[in-house]
Amino acid sequence: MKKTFRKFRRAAVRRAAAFAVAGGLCAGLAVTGILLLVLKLCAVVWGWWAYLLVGVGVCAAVSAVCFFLFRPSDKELSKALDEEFSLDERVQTMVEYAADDGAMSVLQREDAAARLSAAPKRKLPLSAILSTAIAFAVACALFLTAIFVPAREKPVPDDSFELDVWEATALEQLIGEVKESSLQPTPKESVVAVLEELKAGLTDEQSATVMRAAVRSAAQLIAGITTAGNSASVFGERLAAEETELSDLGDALLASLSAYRAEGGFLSFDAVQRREPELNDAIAPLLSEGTEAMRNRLSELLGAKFYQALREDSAAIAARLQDSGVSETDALSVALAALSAELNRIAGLGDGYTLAVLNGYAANACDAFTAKGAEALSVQAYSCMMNEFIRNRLSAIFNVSLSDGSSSGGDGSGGAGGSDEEESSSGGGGSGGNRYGSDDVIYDPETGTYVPYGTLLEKYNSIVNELVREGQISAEMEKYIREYFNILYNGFE
Amino acid sequence: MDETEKVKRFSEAIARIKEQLRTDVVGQEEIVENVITAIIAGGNVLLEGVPGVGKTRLVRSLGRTLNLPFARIQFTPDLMPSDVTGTNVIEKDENGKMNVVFQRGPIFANLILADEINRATPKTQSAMLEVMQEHKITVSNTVYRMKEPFFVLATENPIEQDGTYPLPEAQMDRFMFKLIMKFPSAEELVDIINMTQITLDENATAVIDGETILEMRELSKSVPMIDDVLRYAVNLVTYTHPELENACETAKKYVKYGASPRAAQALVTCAKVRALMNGKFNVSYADVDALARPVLRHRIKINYNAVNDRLSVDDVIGKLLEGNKKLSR
Repeated sequence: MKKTFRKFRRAAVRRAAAFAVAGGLCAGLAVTGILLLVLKLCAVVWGWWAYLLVGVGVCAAVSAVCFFLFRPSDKELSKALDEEFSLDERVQTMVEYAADDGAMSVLQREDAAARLSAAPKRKLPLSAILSTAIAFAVACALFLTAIFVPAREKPVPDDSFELDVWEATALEQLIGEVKESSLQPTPKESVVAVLEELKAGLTDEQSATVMRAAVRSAAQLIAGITTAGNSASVFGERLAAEETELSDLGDALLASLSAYRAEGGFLSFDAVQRREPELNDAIAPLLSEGTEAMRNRLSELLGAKFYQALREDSAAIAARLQDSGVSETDALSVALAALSAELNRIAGLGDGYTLAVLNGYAANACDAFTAKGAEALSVQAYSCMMNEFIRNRLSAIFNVSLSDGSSSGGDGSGGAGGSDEEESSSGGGGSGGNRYGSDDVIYDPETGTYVPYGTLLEKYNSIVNELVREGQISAEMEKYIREYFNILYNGFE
Repeated sequence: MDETEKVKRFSEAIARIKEQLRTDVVGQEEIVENVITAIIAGGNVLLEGVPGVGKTRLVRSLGRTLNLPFARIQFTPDLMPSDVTGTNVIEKDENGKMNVVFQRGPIFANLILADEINRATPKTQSAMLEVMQEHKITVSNTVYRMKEPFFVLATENPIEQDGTYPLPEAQMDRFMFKLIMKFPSAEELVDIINMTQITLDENATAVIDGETILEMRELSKSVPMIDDVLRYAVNLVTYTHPELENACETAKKYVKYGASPRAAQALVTCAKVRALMNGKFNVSYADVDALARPVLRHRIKINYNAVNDRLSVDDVIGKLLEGNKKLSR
């Protein structure tokens, strides 16, 4: 190709490169500016290096694309030159016939080159310069606007918390009720300590998130403490795994702890304290299923005088005791050990005893186990009930959802607490919202202050219950009183 | 002789031809240029003009300049084909024997002026068809070839249309150009009068010969033409067809019948000649544009819409050119 045309081609390439760079710069600035503006308005913060990366990337990409788009081909350049310098398609012909060695083509090329050489230098079209300048100005304006526009601050959700009088009073009341409860001394002391620590911790707490976490943590600790002594479920699982009549005993033990639950979910302290019906419900499976099965089993064995089987049963119980990891002083553990020892003793009596005597010994063994087992179970059931009671109260006081279930051994432990949502329903088995049906305040004669109505309701309820038990309120009135408190919260027994 | 020398001779020859013709023909520069173009391109020309504008003089002068035998055939309604081509006659030789001899007609020249061709009967006109297209005639199964370069310049009188036979489309298509010789301007008329007061004879002298014309013809074929310009010329012809998909709006509105493929061939061939005549070594869009009217005006038929809008064929061709420029460039 003629030198002259190559000179123009180089100039065209340089021009295309310059426009490409300008275009890339404009695009980079504009995109970076828009991105910065959008992120600022959305309160999102990026580092300066991220913007630099985006800007440089966009600039490079757009420059490359523009260069390849705008770089004229030989044909396009020749057409532009012909039009610009009115060369009557000489340059286009020169380019198209560049490879033709014909004499006419050679002459044509020389003629075209000569005319092209005489052509003046190409000027940049004013429109292109103007449009580039305008684009650059707009991009700069966008970028500078984005830089100087202040960033929007992200709204911070209200996480404030302050332990109010009602909550403090209710928590204090709960601590008092735990102290008055019939929990075993060791777990009682631990539960009281947890609740007092919770109260102390929440006194100066200002974050609702921390408060909720603290309440949940306390509820979990209390669940662990109260259900730690639940050996019934441990033994129940192990005995139920045996494919013998012992499995019935195991099933009875497992069923026992869940039987205490009151329907409706919410337990008042008074209901927990008057625990006999629930405890009887807890023990009933053991009495009806487990002991009955044991008796039948022993009768069969004794009838057949299968001393070996007796020994095996005894050994199985002893083995479960050993494997369980439960303390030897645990009441149920002691009862089961006594049963095992008695069965072993009966097995060792030999043929010299009549069936009636042996049956008598077996019946004694069952009765002894039942008595001791029932006593142990009642303590465990009470602990579970207290755990549920404390859980429900904490949930109601602080309006925190405490999920069901808790630590190990607690088959019947845990309360009738609701789901794991933030806003749990208030207690009372209701649908949430207002706990006691009123946010009104009432005068407390003891403290001489006005307190929320709900704060006095428990005390009121307790006093009334006491009067009912003492017979100071007629049976007819009792009916209305019961209905009254039922309306207020679902707990009057 | 190398190409450069040939091109140089080409330019010089053209200049000399024009110079000689100017001595006999006043004005009509465009007509002279187009006639020269047609001769070099190997085509025929239909010249339309009122009586006395110099049609015959032009061709006669051209014949002198090119040093080519010239013949004038005045077409009349009673002209027979054999009057044009020649006929067999019986002649008695020296020995008294009767021989059949072919008497050549006036067509056996290099330059033919077919005056008022539209006055001849279709039969006689058809006799011209073969010779114009193929440069040969057949008489009694004998084929006689015309000597190259062979060129027919036919004339039409646009005034006296009574008793004339319009040329059939097939014959019209065989003319490379249709040129319209306009009435000279006042200044030109003054020059004509001054010239003819001195002598009515043509003063032009021979400057080239037939061989040179043929060489120039060959040389012009090698002029390069880029695809875009070729496409431009082709599109111009296809746009004249209203029935085609890519017909332009002008053709759809004003054209009844479009140009034949000969029009495209004529455009390209003559554009190359024109380019070389103007000292260029390549064909440009301007060359095609300049030849559009001479090539197309006798090949397309305008419809009633054009007549109604008072548009002539040249006006319609002008619109077609504008449309082609927008679409094809």
